[in-house]
Amino acid sequence: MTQQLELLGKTVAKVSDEQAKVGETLFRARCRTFGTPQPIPSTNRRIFGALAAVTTATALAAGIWIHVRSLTNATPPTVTYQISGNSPEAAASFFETKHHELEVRFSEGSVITVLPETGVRVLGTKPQGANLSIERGIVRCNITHRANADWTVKAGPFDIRVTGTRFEAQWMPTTSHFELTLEEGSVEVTGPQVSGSQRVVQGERFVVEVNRGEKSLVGLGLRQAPAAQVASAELPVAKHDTVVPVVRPATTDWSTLAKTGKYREALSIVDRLGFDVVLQRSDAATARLLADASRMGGRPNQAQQALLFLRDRLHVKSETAFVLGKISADQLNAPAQAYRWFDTYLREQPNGALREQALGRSLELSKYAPRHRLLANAREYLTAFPSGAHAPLARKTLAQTTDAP
Amino acid sequence: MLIDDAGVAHAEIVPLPAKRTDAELVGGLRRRLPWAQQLLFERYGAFVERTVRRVLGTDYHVDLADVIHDVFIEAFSSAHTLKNAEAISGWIRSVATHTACNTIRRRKSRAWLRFFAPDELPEPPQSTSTDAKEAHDRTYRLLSLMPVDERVAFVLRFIEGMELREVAEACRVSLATIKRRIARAERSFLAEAKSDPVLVLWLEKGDRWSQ
Repeated sequence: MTQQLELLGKTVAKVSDEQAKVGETLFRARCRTFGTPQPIPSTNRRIFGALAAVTTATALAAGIWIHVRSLTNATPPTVTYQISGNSPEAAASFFETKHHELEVRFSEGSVITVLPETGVRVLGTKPQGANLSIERGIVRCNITHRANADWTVKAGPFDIRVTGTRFEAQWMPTTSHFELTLEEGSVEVTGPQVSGSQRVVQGERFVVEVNRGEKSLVGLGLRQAPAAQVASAELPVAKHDTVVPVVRPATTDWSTLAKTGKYREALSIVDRLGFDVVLQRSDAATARLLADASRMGGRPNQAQQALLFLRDRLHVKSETAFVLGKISADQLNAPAQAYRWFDTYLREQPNGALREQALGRSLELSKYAPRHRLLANAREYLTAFPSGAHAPLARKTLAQTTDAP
Repeated sequence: MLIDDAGVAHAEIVPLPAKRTDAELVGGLRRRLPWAQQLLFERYGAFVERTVRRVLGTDYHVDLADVIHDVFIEAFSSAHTLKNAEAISGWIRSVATHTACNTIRRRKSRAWLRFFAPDELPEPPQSTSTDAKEAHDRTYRLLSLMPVDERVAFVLRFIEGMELREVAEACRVSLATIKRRIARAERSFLAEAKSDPVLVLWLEKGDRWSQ
């Protein structure tokens, strides 16, 4: 009966895994855990909620008083904003897009374009500008230049101080990837890996990989620089006049393209969203689709990454070991590694649908197999598939191996 | 300044410490460093999600993301108790199990506050549900009737497929205790399952389980 319970358990686990939306759940959990400076455990949330309500009411009253005073003092009005197209996101100060873009238009003329798969929060507004926070994804900002303009755009742990400029900012919390591309004007950036502040000017892209501890400042669209310029590390990048336009992520769903066999187009969209980001947010089916698209689209390393994610993070084994073996053998030219994966598949799925192929491929890689495994595989192959495509090789292997000293 | 093959200029690329070991991660967690907390989430997020999901099962009225958040907050604050970096996965699983148990207990303790508890009603059957889906839902429905300790032990042993030692570690009890607890859970589950028209078929026809 215990054995039957274990089998029932496996069925229940399989259904649970199929129903789970791992990527989406983890994304929300991550936002809650790292989205606020002082995360509050849910047990205390009600108490804090009540306190927050009282505080908010007090702040609101104070805000109204200040607002009335500001009107009497004839100071400029606080900027307001509205969302294009009456989208559902308009109800709050937090905007989250899935497969579409949306525009936030501010009363003083600035426009923020929230690209697909992005979450943005308006932290506050004032007469001189607004404070925004990019919680994930990509935002294009076109800030109207005014003498006293004062905008702050937070992108994860980074702060971008803006007066009047056009730029695209990206923050991917799952990979801690920060990217800022200046199309016009200049900004100051502070944050991790930045000592003091980093000035980024028109035509530059500033990238920080927080997890990997790398940063780079790249001049975009720069033609071959003269030797003198190459030698001078202090040459201002902003002098270069050719700016490569920033490519907007396409709104098409990559998975739809992948399912219809348009792997390269699908992968180019994945690239714009960030391969790691897409992978981290994937459930088992999506990660598998990403692995297939990468494999068929000629990117074996990314396919391998997606398959390892399936195995290590989502604990999905099935035929992943076989596919990893196939990639190692056929695309990565790593036969020893390929043998290990085929062998893993045979151990994990002794009666799997790909057993014949896995045994056959293992025999092909006999050079990398221990003698006892080679003999066992050859015998197993001939017993189970006496007329199989690899049967002659199995016989030959047996003959050679048993003859050997 | 560097110029690549395509003629694009790159400013300096500054390499900083790259891949972190578990020992470095644990050291960072003890000092409450933000990168370590992010890395813990990165490495063990899916693992925690899966553990919590297994324990909570079809408790659709709990936001899984909330529970995962609680797990990591608890992990961040109790990281100083982790002595051995190699034990990090067992430790985080134990924190996840404990947090999920507390979630169930809290919900149960508040149940008396409701005159009518719609979230205790079984989910309406779906026309598209398969045998496996039905078995899944009914299994968790039976488990919800069991004491939390036994439910969790049963889930980790039979659904998550963990070894007895791992279950004991996750539940923070001795091996002998977990054996007794699993035996009790197994008896209770089988007794209830015999009166369930769907599960009884799965119990009697073992061959269906190999699907």
